[in-house]
Amino acid sequence: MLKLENIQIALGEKQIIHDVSLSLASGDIGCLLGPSGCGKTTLLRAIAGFIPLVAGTIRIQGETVSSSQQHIDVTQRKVGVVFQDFALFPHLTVGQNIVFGLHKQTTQQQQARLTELLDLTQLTDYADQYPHQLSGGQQQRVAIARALAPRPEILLLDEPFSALDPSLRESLALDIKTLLKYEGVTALLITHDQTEAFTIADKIAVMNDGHIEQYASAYDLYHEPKTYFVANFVGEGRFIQGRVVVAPNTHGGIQTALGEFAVHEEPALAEYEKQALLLVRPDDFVVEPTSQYQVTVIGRAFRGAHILYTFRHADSGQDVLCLLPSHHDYQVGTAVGIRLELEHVIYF
Amino acid sequence: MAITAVFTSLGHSFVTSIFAVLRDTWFVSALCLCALLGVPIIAILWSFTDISVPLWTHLIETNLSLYIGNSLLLALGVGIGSGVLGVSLAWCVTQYEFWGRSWFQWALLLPLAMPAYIMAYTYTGLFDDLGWFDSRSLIGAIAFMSLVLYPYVFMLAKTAFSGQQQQYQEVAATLGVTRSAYFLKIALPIARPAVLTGVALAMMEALADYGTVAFFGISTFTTGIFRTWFGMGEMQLASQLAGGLALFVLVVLGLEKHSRRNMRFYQTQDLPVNKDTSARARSTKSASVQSSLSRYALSAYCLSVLLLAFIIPVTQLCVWALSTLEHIDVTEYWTLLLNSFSLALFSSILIVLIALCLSYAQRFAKTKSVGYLTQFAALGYAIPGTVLAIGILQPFGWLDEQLNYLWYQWFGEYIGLVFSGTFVALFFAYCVRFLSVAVHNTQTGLERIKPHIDDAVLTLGRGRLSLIRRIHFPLLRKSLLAASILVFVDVLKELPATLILRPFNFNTLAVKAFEYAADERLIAAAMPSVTIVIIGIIPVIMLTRAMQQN
Amino acid sequence: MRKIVFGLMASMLCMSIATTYASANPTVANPESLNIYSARNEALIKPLLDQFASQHNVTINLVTGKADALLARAKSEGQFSPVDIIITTDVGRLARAKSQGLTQPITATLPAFATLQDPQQHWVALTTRNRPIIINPSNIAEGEITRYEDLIKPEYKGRVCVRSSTNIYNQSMVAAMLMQQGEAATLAWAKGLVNNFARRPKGGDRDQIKAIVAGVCDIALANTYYLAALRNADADSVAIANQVKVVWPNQSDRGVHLNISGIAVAKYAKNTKMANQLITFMLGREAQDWYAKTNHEYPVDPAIEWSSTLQAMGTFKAESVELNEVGELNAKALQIMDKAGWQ
Repeated sequence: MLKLENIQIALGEKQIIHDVSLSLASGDIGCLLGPSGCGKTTLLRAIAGFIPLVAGTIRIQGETVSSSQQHIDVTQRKVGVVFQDFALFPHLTVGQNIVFGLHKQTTQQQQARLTELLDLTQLTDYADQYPHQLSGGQQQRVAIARALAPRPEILLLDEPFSALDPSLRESLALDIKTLLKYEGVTALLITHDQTEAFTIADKIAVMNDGHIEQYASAYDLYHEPKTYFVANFVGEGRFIQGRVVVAPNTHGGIQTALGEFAVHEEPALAEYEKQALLLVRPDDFVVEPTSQYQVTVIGRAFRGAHILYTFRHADSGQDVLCLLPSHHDYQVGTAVGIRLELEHVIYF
Repeated sequence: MAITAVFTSLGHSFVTSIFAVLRDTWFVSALCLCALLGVPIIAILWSFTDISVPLWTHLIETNLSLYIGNSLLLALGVGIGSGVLGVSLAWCVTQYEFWGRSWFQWALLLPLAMPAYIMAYTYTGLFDDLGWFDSRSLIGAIAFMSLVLYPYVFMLAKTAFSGQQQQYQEVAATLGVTRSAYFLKIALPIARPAVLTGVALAMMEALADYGTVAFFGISTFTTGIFRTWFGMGEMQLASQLAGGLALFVLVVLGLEKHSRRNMRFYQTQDLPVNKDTSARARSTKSASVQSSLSRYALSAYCLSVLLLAFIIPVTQLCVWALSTLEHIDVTEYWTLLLNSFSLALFSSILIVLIALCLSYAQRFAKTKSVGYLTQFAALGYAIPGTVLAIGILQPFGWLDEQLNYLWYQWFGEYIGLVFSGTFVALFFAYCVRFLSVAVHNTQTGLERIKPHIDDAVLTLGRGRLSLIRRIHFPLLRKSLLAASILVFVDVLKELPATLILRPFNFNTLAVKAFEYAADERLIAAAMPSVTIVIIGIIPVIMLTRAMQQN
Repeated sequence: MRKIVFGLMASMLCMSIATTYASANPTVANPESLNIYSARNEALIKPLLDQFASQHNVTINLVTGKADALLARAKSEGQFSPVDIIITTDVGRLARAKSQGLTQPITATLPAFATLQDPQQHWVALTTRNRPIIINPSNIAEGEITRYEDLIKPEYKGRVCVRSSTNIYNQSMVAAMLMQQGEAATLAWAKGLVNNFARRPKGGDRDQIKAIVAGVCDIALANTYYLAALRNADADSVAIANQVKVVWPNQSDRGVHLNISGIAVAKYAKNTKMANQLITFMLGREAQDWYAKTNHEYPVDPAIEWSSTLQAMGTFKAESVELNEVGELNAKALQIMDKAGWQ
């Protein structure tokens, strides 16, 4: 449905996007995740048609909408956009806002589509109200309904939840996901919040400094990050010093202060070793009082069902994070014996 | 025990009611202010207690239909003319990129500096010299006044358009709406309150104008008032006609207010806007491709308006003025200059302060009636300067009389005139007349600051004064500046009231220009006219600089 | 930068307020000052006043404006009004001043030629002004038009230019006619005149003269003062003025309409002595000569020679009416003009 090939975008003198490629299948919900300044907004706006490309192509449904030679105007693309602050027209009612993009259709068609969308977004009672009379969540739904009304090929959402109550975000995100899936809309949203990304998206592209670090499902990003940046950005975790030692004709292992683990390096004829940082997630630990690895609790954060501890390994002086069920309730300064149980050995 | 309890509760309720009154100080002070400013209006309403049937019959038989018809046509014509000009220019300047755009943004405000009647005199003289058509007609008056008054609409529309969310346009674009459709369906409706305010101002100016219609020989309410008063010597009838004129203005004001009422245009949410989004959005604003032909057309349009409304008349005036250069008395001219400038400066500061007080009273006092009070006080705009002056002379004369009697009783001598014939009367007249201009701007500016901000500051433990000083004032700067400049230029151009109420030996440029022009010595009138225009330009430049900096 | 500008403006403001307040001190009438409300433009009267001021070592404070506005101001100021002298350009307003109780009798001994005055000597004329018919000599034959009444003849339809009825000179003219011809005849005349208008009244007297030259009309009514002014202005104006001719109407009966510019002493004048001295001065040789030569008006002093421009226009017979009554009929005159549709 959406295909980006070797996109390069510059604004003025500055190159914002360097060689980005990704594709999104029809009906999927994609996400551009990354910190501020990584270029995700620029990319979104390029797909919408507000920004031209320096190089590369953007194809929607097989049709090239942007390339270095060609640029189809925003008004001609079938791309819907939901802005961060919704940008609902304050002088129009909810109903009028929603049908705004349907000006080419007859009144009956507009009415029919309006009813359909109002049902879908559960806003039937609010059709004649004005935006300022609605809550944030309702306004978001109106914005989405408006963008969906002309049945766009792609729906772009720019930080759709940043304007909303954080406690509602997760439930709203699920609602939106249900809505989008029901409509079968191909959507791409951008956000800097991982929780939203994880909840709503099928595939997430982690972006950093104008290029995509990794484009995969949430699970893969979390458990099999391909780059240091992704490992660091997605989920919580720490890195500990390690030494990868590869003996001839073996896959090698990594030696750390908290244990040794097998790795999957390419076998080589000669032995070699290299320095590495091993990713340790909070859920990789098991409490074992008799373990040789003793750590001290130097910090704790209560999280309801779990407590996130910060452990310090006295010998190596490294800190790690550990998520344990809260009934353990270790106080600061306590010594705990732990053992690393790594499902995925990730190091860089 | 019980007695102390009773007393404490009584005292408590006493104290709370005091606080209730204090809280209403806004309302009370607004009430006092408006009552004061409403004195001329009340004086005029009072004149309706003495209606002469034969006089009115005569009026109805002869001229009344002319007055009503011409005044209506004039107001509507100017409203449409200035509206179309102002909105189209504001749209061009905010939406498109073309040669000279940044320069036109402020240059198009320049006609503000030119009084309508001076433009009328100038063009008529010019056309006469060239032997072209005679522009002394209703159409001519409408055309000239529209050219002079469109900046009111232009300024307000420009602020409205540029303040509108960039994203509305982007949303509309993604929904397949072209720019022109966007203009009609979104931009213009949202800007409607601002546009209507500007149009209302222009219409009121047109209704109150005397110089142009008198010169062109068009019978309107204002000329009718003068004629009834001067010619027939019937002050009461003149006041009643003035009341009729005020009615027209009330209608205009009412329509404008009504349109504002239903639309609440401030944002409903304070959003943590993504800096990237807004910054990048702003930088790609004019990314739309335009043909060079349309760019030239836009530049040509702006340029031609500027030529017609400002460059040509000013050049003609300069040419005339330079031809009289040898005959100028320098000290006299310098005095005129100083007088006009200081009068205008002082008045504008005073009037904007009052307008601000009223707007604040409307914001803080929860009673809606403050709004009506303000509108009532702002009606002074509709009253022609002369009638206003007379409406002030009488009460002031009475006041002086009383003051003198009192003074005599206390001190055994007369103090003379304190109010009439001094600057007090003059300032009072300016206040009454130009308050509406200032209030419109302070009101619009204050409306743009959400009430939530007030709440936020108050809950942070800071008083109202602090709120005003540290939060509102920086946000209001643009509106305050706009208000003071509009008032400054208006006072500079003001004629009839100044003529009547000014103290001895105090002349302004407007007075001088009028005297010469009324004596049909247009060329001699050029020098003071040009000076008015040139001084009037300076605040316009200041205004635009300030707006650009923000 | 802005601070400098603001500082400059503030200092200018203070400076100017100080100076203007110092110079404009109207509260108590200084015995050595004379306060004048003048309907005559400042430029037209200042030189004379300056001369008087230096001769008599007195400060003159002048407020100019439209006569009615000044009168209303004087009225509302009542007994505390600082005004000493009232000067107008038309008899109607003088009469009104008197009837509103704003004047007092002149105590100075007036020269014998000052016959144009109020019966109770509340005002006296300083100059006279006449309102002849101006014609285009190429289109109107000599002797074709001799009376105001000729102007309503049907052959002149669309050929007459007159300024608006709001102008006081027209009002006084109609009032004088009213006095002498009665209401019916005046109304008929006014209606006939309006019928013959080439265009809706616009502009002033000079504009009517220019309209003749431009070919818009052949006949106009204008004060000699304006024609004389044109004949003494720049080359273009002189050229225009020389293309028209003056016709003194009604020479065989009542004479051309006469109006005056006059002077009165205010009722509550503080400085009546100086006020009366000013009147004497204005009727004196120097002043009358100035009016004649520099201003091209007809001085009341018959001994003063007219300016050459006025002499070129010829001598004439002026109507002799009770000017006071002309003043009082002003409102009625305006009603007649209203009924005739004279805008």
